[in-house]
Amino acid sequence: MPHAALTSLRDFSRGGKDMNKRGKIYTYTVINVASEEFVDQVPYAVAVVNDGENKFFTRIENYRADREIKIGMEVEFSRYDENQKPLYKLVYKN
Amino acid sequence: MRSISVIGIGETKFGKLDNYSIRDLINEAGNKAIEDAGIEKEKIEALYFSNFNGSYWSTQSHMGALVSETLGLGHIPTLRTEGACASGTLALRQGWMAIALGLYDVVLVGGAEKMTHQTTLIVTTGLASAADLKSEVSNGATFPSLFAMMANRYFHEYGNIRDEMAMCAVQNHENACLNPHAQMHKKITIEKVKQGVPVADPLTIYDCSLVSDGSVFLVLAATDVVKSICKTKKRLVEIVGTGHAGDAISISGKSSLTTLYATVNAAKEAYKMAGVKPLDVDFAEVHDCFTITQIINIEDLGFFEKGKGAKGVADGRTARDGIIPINVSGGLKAKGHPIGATGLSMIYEIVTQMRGEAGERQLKNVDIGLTHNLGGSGATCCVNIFKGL
Repeated sequence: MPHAALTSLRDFSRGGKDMNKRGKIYTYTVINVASEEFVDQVPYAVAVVNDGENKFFTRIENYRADREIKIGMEVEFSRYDENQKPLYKLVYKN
Repeated sequence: MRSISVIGIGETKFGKLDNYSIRDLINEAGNKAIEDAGIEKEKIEALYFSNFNGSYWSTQSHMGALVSETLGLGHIPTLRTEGACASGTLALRQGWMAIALGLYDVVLVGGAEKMTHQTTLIVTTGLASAADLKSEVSNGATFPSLFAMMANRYFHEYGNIRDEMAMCAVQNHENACLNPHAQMHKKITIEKVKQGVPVADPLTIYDCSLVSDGSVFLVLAATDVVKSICKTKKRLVEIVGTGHAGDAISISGKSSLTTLYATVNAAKEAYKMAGVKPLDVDFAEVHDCFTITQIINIEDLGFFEKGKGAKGVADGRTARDGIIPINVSGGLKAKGHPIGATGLSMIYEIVTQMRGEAGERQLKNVDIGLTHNLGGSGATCCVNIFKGL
């Protein structure tokens, strides 16, 4: 995984620890019952991502119920949301 | 080490108790425990009280003083403990340490939570405060989602145990049907669990513990003073081992999601102090906030090898007539989970069983029992081991 050479992202929610642009899903779930702030997004996927150096929690932006999500899949940085939380997206091979 | 025993127990029913304020819960359970111990209130020298989130759900803080006034305990020192769902056994441990140090001979330990009067949204928000706000909750995590991620990781490492998780819920509901204090008196099936309303994949509503009101109190005393202060002659239950350990608050900060090291380390401390091994334990009350948690915990406590807990459940080894009955009370899943009271509720069941007062759910020949109480997504853990004298 080409993590070390990539420009690192700064996750403000983790006290300044760096996270890399690409990583693999360590574990995940699809949330159907959400808190008020996220209730209009259900179902949505969240994951713990391993970027080769650290593990971190993130939302998976491009999850769709009709496409596969599983442990070991590659993800890449997508954007920061309005609260400066980094969002990742699944990297589909085809 | 000074010998310390549980000499009195008191508990309210668990459930949606609309007619009870938090004071009412405390009043009922606290006075029951003191009466059960057969001591004068003046003998109580200190209070350790557990409450998770009353300052949010009931806008009531300073709970120690509230309890003292409610129960008429006078000018004794009071302290509130908070460690999310492990708050109750933190109170127990504080009381145990105070007697062990020789500060006091008799202390009252209690816990209460009032939750069901609030909306689901307020309850959910309050529960989520036990997780890491910055990295998890504000990025969409819910409490069930953290344990759902543990379940998916467990499936990846050890194979799919969806049916066995459901079996934990089925067993705990069956047990709760025999417990008059339990919130849920309804049997369920594996299929019903799996087909329940999805919460966070793979967890459905039936994999999740309950939102409950309730309170539990215990009277602890140095065993050598019991004869001189107690009017009753019930079987004493000695606290022979206690362990407390921690881990990262965030799920990503933990080194493993299929072994919870707070449990492993708390259990190691408790087993060593008690001088017993997992095989010596006759029965246990184990934290089942979600069905996957019960399976991971029974492995981390040493009752089953890692990866074999689910088979143990499926084979009936954790059932009431199994080799290591788990959650005979009904557990958090079906007895209920009034957070501040939950860990003490486990001890209530241990003492009730050892005294032979458990009615239809009474186990035979129980002398050594264990409680396991977990806070957050495995960030705080207390394990206690008890022996009937």
